[in-house]
Amino acid sequence: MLVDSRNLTPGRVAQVLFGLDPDRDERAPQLCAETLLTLAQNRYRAPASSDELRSPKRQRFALRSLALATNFLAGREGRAGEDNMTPHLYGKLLASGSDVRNSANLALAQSALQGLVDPDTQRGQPGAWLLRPFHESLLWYDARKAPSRPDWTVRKVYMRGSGITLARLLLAPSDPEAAEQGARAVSAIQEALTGPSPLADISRRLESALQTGEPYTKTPDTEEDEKAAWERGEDELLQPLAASLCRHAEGVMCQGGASGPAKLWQLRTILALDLAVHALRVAWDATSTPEEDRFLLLSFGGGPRAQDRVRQRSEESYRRARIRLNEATVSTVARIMRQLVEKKTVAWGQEFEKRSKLDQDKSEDGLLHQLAKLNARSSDDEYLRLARTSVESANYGRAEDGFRVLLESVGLVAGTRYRYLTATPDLLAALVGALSSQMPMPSNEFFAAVRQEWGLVINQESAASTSLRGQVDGAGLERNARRAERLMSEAGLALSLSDRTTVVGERAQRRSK
Amino acid sequence: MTDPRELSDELPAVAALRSLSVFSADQAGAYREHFQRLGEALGADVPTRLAQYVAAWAKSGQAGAVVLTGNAGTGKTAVAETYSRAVGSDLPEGDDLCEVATGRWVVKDLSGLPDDAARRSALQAVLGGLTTGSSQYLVCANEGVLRDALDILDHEDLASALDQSLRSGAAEVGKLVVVNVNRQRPTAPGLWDALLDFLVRGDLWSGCTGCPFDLGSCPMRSNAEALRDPRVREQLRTLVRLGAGEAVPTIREVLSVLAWAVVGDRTCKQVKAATRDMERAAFTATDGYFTRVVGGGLSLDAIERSPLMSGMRTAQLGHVSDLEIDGWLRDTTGAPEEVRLLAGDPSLVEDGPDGSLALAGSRSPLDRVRTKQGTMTFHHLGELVSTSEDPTKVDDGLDALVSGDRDSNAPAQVLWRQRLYFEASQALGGADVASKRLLGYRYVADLVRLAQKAARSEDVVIEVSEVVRGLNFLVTGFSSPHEGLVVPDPACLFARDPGSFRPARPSLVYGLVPLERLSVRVPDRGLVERLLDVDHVDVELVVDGRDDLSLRIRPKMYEAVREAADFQGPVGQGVAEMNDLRGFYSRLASAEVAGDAIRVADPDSDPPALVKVNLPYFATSGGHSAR
Repeated sequence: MLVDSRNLTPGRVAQVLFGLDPDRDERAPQLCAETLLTLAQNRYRAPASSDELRSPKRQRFALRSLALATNFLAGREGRAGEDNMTPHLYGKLLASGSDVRNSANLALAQSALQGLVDPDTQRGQPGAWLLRPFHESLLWYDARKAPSRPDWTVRKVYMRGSGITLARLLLAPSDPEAAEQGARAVSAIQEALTGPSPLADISRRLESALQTGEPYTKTPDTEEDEKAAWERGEDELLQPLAASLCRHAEGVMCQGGASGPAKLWQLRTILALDLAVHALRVAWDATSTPEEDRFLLLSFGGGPRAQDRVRQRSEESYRRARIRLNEATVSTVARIMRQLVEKKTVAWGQEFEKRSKLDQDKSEDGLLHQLAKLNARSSDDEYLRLARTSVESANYGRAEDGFRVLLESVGLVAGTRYRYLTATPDLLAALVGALSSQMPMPSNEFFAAVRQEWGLVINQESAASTSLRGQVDGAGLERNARRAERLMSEAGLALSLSDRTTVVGERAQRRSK
Repeated sequence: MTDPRELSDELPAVAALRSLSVFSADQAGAYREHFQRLGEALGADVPTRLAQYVAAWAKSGQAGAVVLTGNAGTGKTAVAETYSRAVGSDLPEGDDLCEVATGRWVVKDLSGLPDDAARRSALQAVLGGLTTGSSQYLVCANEGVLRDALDILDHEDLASALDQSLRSGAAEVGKLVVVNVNRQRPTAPGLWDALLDFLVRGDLWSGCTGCPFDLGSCPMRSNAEALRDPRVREQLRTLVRLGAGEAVPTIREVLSVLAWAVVGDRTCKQVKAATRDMERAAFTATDGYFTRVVGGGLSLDAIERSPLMSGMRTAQLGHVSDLEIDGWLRDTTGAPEEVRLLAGDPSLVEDGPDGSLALAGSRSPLDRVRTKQGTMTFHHLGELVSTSEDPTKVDDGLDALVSGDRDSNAPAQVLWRQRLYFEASQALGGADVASKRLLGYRYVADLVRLAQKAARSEDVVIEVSEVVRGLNFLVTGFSSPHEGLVVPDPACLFARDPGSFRPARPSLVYGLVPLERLSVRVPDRGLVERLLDVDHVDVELVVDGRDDLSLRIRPKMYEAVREAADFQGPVGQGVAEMNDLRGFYSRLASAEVAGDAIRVADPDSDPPALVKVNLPYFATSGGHSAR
């Protein structure tokens, strides 16, 4: 397990703990795009080995020049469609919405494409902006412009490899039932991503002007860290995530009554949510959290915070979840420290991330000095104390931040100063879609299923088995559930019947059932 | 439930209505098991078309089975009782299969049986008897238990009839009829008046001993009297149609809401005691049916328990302002006489018995409001805020007018608008105009008219064109119907936010459906119209007559479509409507062949036109010049 030359870097610790390395830059859009790109680039099949993996780094510089009104072909020489047109000029014309080679009204197509930019990605430089993941021809990898050069190249900006691992979990989970569900999900994803669409026609035609095999069109060779991300999908630790991911993705993609884009939009939510919940569950296990404290409480209030007990408890459940993630990191650092001590003589300064500067404190009571005193007989408390000191002194908060941004980007976190958990209509639609094989169902069964699948508590019944039972009165939770039902009814996800039952997922149910 | 007859100084109808309301503690009357005593106070059951059909079937003796499926409270047990009576028996006590007369069998409530095995056994006995015998079977069951039992029994006829009835309301397969009672609409012609008569007909409301109604001080009898007026009933019907939304309310819920509207939680004794102490100042419009029917007097928690009431509140009755109507409250001088009477204008009515200036002209609690300056008529409140020179009085009047007391008394202007919506519809320009002026839904009357024309198979070409114009705007921002129904690329629907004030972006067009291929029909047609009371209040836009290519247009969707067609600007649509549209256009895109060119619906083109996009041609493009 301890193979890296530096075993106590935040990334390494996260991998040991969670099986992968969630990052604060990796939000739902990036995670989804990288997963879908990996699937599409590998023709929706698992390669025989990581050596045959094709990189997800699709460029589509012509299309994105048009869609994002930025010349991604700047500085590129050569030929684009005709002898006297360079890729640079071609990109410039596309970025300005000008017509090219007898085209007409490209500006309108540009405007239509701009409507499809994923709003959650519109921050920072346009190389990291993404279109909504509605068609294979609209997917591309992050790009960045070199500081001293005009040309753009595809490279990691916000996509960090977790999407490659998720693609592996969908394509080749070890559990046979999950494999079946994954296969159905991937087949439906392929169908949705490759259907006929004028968007695909535009993309194909614009890209066809660029010569193949050029650095700006050729998919780069697969990098070692991409292969490593693929191989991580084998990790036993990730198999529970694989099972839930395949089940939920199959639910979303095989539901009835939703369009291809609607399903893919829900898939974007589910991928991020499942990854965040996986991290939290691992943290609960690592910190031996009592069963009754393993929940996230969703609040559907609207009234003043001071009078809303459910919202206050929701804030608390979110805060505790983040503390658990931090504690799990501390205990994992302590565990790795003990493994290192038991295995060899440790040069502690070389185990931490360089930029953490933990190796620079050489004083008598400095961390390194204290670590050097550790031996196999040192108590667990001593390991924990030093691990906590390390975590507090260096940046180990990536996993916790990764969890936070994933929840934020799926619409689960609300509030500014006091952050609490809730669900937007889009998130509720994804939850309903993920459970489509069981739909329709009464709302109380839906709330129970949501508790079971994602640890989310909404109503009194689900709260009965948690520590909430003594903290929030039942009427408050029932009101919370009714508001959730109303939100779902207004979003077309549920039907409120006159006998006071609410039926969830009539539209999402599978017609062939 | 308290026996109405046991209360000597209480009108039986008052106790009966109180027990019908599920908003108070005593709600036993809402359940059939306790109906007998309720029936003694209110009289015979409301006659439904289904009950008539079942009674006629019972009398005919024709062998077969009728399966009634639907939510609790839709009236299945009442129909079973009608059937039992028609064959000379009573409703069986138990829920299991019971022979109520020779060869006449009833399962009163399949879900009331103890376990799955018992339910399957009862159903098997019915299906077995249906195949071999000449008996009649009436089975009441909700969908869930019926489906669970069928999963094991594997009876193809019943399964297919159940599926069909859930889709279209009723189905007949051989000697088996399955009726989905959820499709019964309380606002259906005939049934609506019968429901109201059941609760407020004149003979029920003759008054208790010492009733202060003649003194203008019994809010319950005033409410009942108002609800006997056909114009008030029609306005209430519109509100219930809107409130029904997606889930058709059960008869139990409608009765409950109406009962709350009429009596609330008042008793005759309480009304008499309060009148004795406070005379005409005891009760005000806060006790009026027009505000109670949309939740007046109830906490938000209690309102949330009724989907119908919650739905009706979305119409925002009382919260939609109208300059003229609000002006009449401040100064009734120029108002029509009908309105002045409702305001309690003393120049039209003899002064009341107590001679109070503030209450001069008051005829009932429905024209009175409470203020810090005492109880007064709407008319007097208007005069107070408009002409008084005492700033304290004006401030108190304005408080009552726009804020109420923030506790039990609603703002007077809300009560005023609510009352005028119901009782002054003629003065406002007719029922439809009153709805347009005072409800958040402006087009509900047009939708009902369209539905009824479609039900009669009349020409609706103009209306279809208008719907297409609105839909085109909703999904693409392009508002012309001349090209037909524009089917956008399903992805582009995510770029549309018709509620936004940002200009719409152009949408790529997947295809076009010419107007000739579109039709409008009502969801309830055929057998269901014969068996159930239906009310045509929504429509389906259908492509090529195909069930899978239909869009259900309910009041909210119609509102969005018409707003889009008329204003071509931001519309007050909801997420549900866009979800529906995404599903519909996705099915259309799957069924239609894509157009042979890339076209864009450009919201900015003038005159509106679909603009063709020619892609650049390159030698490597494969020889196709466009797509």
